Amino acid sequence: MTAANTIDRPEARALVLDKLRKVYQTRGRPSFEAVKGIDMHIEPGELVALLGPSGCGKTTTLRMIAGLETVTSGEIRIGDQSVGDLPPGKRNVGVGFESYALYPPLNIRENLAYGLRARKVADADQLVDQLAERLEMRELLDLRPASLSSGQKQRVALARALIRRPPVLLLDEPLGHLDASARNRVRRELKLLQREFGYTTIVVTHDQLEALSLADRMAVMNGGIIQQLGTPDEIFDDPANQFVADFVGEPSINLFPGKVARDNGNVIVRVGDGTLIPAATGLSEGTDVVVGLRPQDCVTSGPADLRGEVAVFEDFLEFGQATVKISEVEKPMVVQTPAEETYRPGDEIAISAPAERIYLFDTTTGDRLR
Amino acid sequence: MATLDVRGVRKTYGRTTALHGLDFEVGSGEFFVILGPSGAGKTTTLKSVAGLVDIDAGQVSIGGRDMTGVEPYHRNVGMAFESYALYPQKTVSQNLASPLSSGRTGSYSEAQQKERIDAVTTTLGINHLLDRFPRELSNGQRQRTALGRVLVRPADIYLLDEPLSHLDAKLRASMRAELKTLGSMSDTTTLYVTHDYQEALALGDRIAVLRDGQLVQVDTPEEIWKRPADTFVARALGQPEMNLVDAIVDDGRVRFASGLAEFPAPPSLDLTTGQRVRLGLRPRELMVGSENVGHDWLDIPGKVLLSERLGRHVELDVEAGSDQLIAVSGSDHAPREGDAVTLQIHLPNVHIFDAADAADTDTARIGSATGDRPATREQETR
Repeated sequence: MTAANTIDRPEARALVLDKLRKVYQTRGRPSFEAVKGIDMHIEPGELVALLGPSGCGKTTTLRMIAGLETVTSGEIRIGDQSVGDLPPGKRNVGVGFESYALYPPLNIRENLAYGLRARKVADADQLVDQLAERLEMRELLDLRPASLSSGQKQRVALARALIRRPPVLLLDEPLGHLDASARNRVRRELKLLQREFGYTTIVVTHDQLEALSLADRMAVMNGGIIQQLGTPDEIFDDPANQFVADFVGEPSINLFPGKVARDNGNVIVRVGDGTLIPAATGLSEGTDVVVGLRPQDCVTSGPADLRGEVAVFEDFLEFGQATVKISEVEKPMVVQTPAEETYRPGDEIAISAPAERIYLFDTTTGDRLR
Repeated sequence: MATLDVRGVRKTYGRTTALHGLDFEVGSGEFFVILGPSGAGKTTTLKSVAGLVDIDAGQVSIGGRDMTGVEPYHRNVGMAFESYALYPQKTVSQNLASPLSSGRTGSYSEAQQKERIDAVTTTLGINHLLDRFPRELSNGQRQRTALGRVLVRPADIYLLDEPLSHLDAKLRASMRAELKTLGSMSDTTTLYVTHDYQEALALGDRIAVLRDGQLVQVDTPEEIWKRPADTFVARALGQPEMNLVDAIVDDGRVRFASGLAEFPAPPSLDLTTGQRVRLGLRPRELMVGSENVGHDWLDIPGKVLLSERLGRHVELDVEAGSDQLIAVSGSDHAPREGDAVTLQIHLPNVHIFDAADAADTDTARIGSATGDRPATREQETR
């Protein structure tokens, strides 16, 4: 192989998880099933986010793919090769874990260039410079790992995973320690780099905004199971169940009790002493449901399907946010209002919503009712 | 309830100057927010008012009374710190009763104590937790209890140091709304410190923006938003941050350095030919355009590099010549990556700032593209 000026784009590979399970057996304790048989087919060059609360199995899944955790049953394939039994170093995956060890005596530049030099890549320095520029870490290159803050270490870990140009890239909470404004910029840069180099990528995160904004597709996990796998649009606009609807979206979706009724043959939902008209049709009269309505989907200029009284109004100038007491509904409802509207506590407010944005869930299983 | 008057307060730690002579007044009953990044001197300001640090120069007066030499104990301020200070061996109700039974600010009968505790815990939504111990509470409940300990005792001024910063995003939003109710119910003067611009906008009667130990601007939320004194203030409010674009004044027009857009130089701002400026464009005010919206709109042609879904919105990263602009669009008809788009902004929303030698240097606001009055920076008015 001749030394090229820059490293070639890696040959992106598909990553397949087939009925992947992980059971932890600790002597003297009941076994714990952290990952309960998940299936996923990730296309070459695709970025998939695993999103869920702590303990949902997302990091265990990532560690199994990296080879840092044994697989209880099921299969992991990269391209057409089954890698479940290979040691981590032979899997051809790049891992950006937060705790990823750096060589303490080497400065950051040397740490980043180390792997490139070992593979006799020409222009390693130039490559390090380019990447450092884009990840806003040029000033870190001459420092040693011990003097970095956690946010800086995180950027270095990310750079180190990216610079190897692996066909499959695994990132665990890659932006968690950055402050809000750096996080936004580094996130965009990460996405552009991922596009440019075509890594097949899995990002683990508990931050729903990060998942929505980065991912081509995202898997929302809870209790070791994938609750929903889909594009950010599908997850946000068409949640499969109450867990997904509640976990994704900020401010949180409003959830309150409702009862299905019929009006001239059409399905309606009674909420307190108000009425909503959902898009769902397959519901029988008298069914108790959980109604989900996102603060951003509430319309304050339409009919008074729900009537309420403003308890708190917060003006963010680009938009407003009202906390509203709906008559005969116990929990207050959060409503986002357009910039030009202002309210005072005690003001009456009329709320409606587009039919397809009114989500209904089963009161026991939490499944979406359509 | 009392006024607070801070005059020329200076504080150094060794060779580091934490506060460079702060001046501000807080009206009686006012909710006053100090907004700034970490290290700006927010906590030092609070501690100076509370008397927990010795200031090197200047004066703090509470209710018209000079506090120089007055011990913290006798200043009658209630201060809540970032971390929860609760007695682990006491229940919530005992924790709340202890500031009242210390005898420090008058004595309260059992009935009076109960009445005050009831009022505070009801507002904070923790009245069902009175018999629990701190270890049996969630983080959010603990934070509320700690806040309750401060609010239960009548004080001239409440000093609150990032009381919501330990909560997750969703809980923070609901607590913020509760604090707002509390703020409008109690007429106690409050000095509130935060790095979160949404908290500042939602809670503050007025906001003081602090940078490196100096006040950059003190004003109402609306004024700060519409007429930020400089690029630091402009970027401190709003997420995503305001876009800054280089431009030059030429032949009575302000032209983007990229050459892609221009508008008439507003006569009232006295811009001179050849003068370099920076334009500030807020992402949410940049619309993805249809044609011909009107003569007082600015059109900027570009190409979508990235489209990121953020809840109900889509954040677009648009390449416009040499500029990279962030715009926010609704998710329903958002353009796709690679699409050519025209970004449009209403001229009164375009801010004009002095040019900077380096991208991260902050410069003063000259005015808006329609000649709106210039803003003043605190340091320069002194």
